[in-house]
Amino acid sequence: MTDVQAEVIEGLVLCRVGEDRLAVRAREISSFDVPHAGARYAGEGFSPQARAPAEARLLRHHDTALVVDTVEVHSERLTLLSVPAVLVRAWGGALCGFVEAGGLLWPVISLERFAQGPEVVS
Amino acid sequence: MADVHGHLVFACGSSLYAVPADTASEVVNLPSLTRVPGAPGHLLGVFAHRGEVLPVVDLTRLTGHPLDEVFKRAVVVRTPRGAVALPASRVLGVATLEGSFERLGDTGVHQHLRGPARAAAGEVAIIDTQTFIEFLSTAG
Repeated sequence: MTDVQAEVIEGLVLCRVGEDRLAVRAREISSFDVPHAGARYAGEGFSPQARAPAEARLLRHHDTALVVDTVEVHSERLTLLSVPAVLVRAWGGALCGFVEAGGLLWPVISLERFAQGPEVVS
Repeated sequence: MADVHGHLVFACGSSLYAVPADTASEVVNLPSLTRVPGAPGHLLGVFAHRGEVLPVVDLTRLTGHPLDEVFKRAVVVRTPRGAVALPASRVLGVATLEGSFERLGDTGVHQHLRGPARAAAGEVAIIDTQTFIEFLSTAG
């Protein structure tokens, strides 16, 4: 049996999206901003009808932008749990893994891939 | 045809399902689930269990007969292709099944169900766990 070393993440941005949660590696975000028209709302990943609240935040990295409800920077080292096989293709393969923080499980996404939309990446 | 290896039989709503006993690793109490963006409707969410993330797959939605039932327990099925938790209304235990082991359909999840087999509690659909998890991995 192969002993696979678990990946450790240091520096995450924990995001609330309606009743749901997402996390993004801090190094994938260059700035927080005010949302602009046309930026994808992360809530679409959970419900196509989801709409961003008035006081939403924008995660930006170069030309990539994603709107979330709230953000919280988490600096502790966390173990990245693997994506189950049945979820590898979810939201175009944007899921990188999961972390446990504050007693909750958070899906960790690639900001760039998530912002591109749910089309399946082959 | 008789069952040689034994199956774990469980109820999901009014339907009975069975998985090979050697792929049913445990029965767990379901905690609150974390929803995953882009997950198909039959995937209710995930939970962390002993350092592993387990997806919870609702058989009632997958077979087109969704229930409003809030499931409290699940059967964890583990194969080399991955592990899933299948919510159960009741877990009836390991039984030797008899009857048909033919595929129940040619499309969708029914390709991965076999039967109808018979257990003491009634007719059972047997989940072909290997191909079932492969199917879930490609189902949108």
